[in-house]
Amino acid sequence: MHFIKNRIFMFSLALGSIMFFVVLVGVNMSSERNHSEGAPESSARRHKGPSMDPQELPGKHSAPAPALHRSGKIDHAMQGLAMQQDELSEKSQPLETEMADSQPQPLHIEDFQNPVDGDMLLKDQEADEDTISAQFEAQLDLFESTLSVEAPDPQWTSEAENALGNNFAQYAEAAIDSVDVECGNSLCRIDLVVAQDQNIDDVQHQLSDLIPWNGELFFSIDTSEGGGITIYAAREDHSLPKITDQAY
Amino acid sequence: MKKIFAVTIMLVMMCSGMVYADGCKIYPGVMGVRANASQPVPWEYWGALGNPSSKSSLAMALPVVRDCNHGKLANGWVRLVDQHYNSDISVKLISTYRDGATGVIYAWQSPVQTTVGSGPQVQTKVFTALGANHYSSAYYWVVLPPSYNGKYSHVISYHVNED
Repeated sequence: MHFIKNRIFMFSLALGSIMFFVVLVGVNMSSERNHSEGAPESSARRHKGPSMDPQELPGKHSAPAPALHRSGKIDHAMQGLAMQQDELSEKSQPLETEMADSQPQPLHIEDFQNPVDGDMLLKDQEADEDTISAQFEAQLDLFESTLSVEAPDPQWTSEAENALGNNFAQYAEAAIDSVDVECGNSLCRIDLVVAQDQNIDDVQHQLSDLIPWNGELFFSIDTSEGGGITIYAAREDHSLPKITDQAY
Repeated sequence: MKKIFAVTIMLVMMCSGMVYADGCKIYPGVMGVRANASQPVPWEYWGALGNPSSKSSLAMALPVVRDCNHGKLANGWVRLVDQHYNSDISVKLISTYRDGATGVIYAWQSPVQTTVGSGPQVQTKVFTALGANHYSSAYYWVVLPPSYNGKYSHVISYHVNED
């Protein structure tokens, strides 16, 4: 299990690293673009290609301008450059469109108040809760079926029932209206109704102290008015039966 | 590009440490919350929480902060110092779930563990798996005896491992 978990962990780590790297590179490229837009001169150069202004020709500092105009070769070069400019303009058109599309769109408050996602989350939780409720029902059924099939242990069952009955009866005078106890050979069920003037939350830890042995417990507490409490108490050194390994 | 790569590696290393810690936590005793206002006010000492009252026991809940998407409480421990000559510290692990539709509370409770003897030495009480679902809340319930000869019994730290 640990081996599989470690594998999943390493895989997730590698995947996360790649995704994070890609996102960072994307952010970097985006910021470079924004930076270019902030410098109109260089941006214009990039989009428009080489300038046709003779004052801006690449060779303007390396050769005197009058000499250039006198040469027929220069005219030919100018025509070539004009053609290249047209080609570059055509090629840059899709890039300009792409950049325009990638501009940040204005945000609206509705984008942050998506009621659909909230509803989905609630529905997921309700579905989860339905599943969990069903699991608890199954868990209670398992306790009951275990109790019903267990043969009484002559060394323990009646003694346990008497001890529980006595302890809860003493407490009953103050806080409990009624108590019913039933034991098998590995667990007991204690049903009780808490007196109406008692705070059900206050009695929780006191109730577990009334069980005369130390074992695992399961509580089902009906918090509605007049609701009862059912306690399943495992015999000492025994465990309560559980529906799955991932018991609810 | 190199800078981005280096930053990526550093952040991933930091995050991996945090992710790997997922599911296993150690909490200081000072996170304990007394059960109600009638309990003695706890005493804090280097992250531990003790009972300064010479007359009353102190019942406290030690909250367990659970991770999302975990189910069962796999195991845990509580480190305690019992300084009362004849009253023990008792501690149990509890998980609770309240049904949203019916209001019924379901709770699993471990067997109670108690300290043995007394003195300044640390006693570690170990707990095995306890039922829980990914909406359950969990806590240890600890009862500290009164102080004895001016010495306080206390909770040092506690731990839960989720599965």
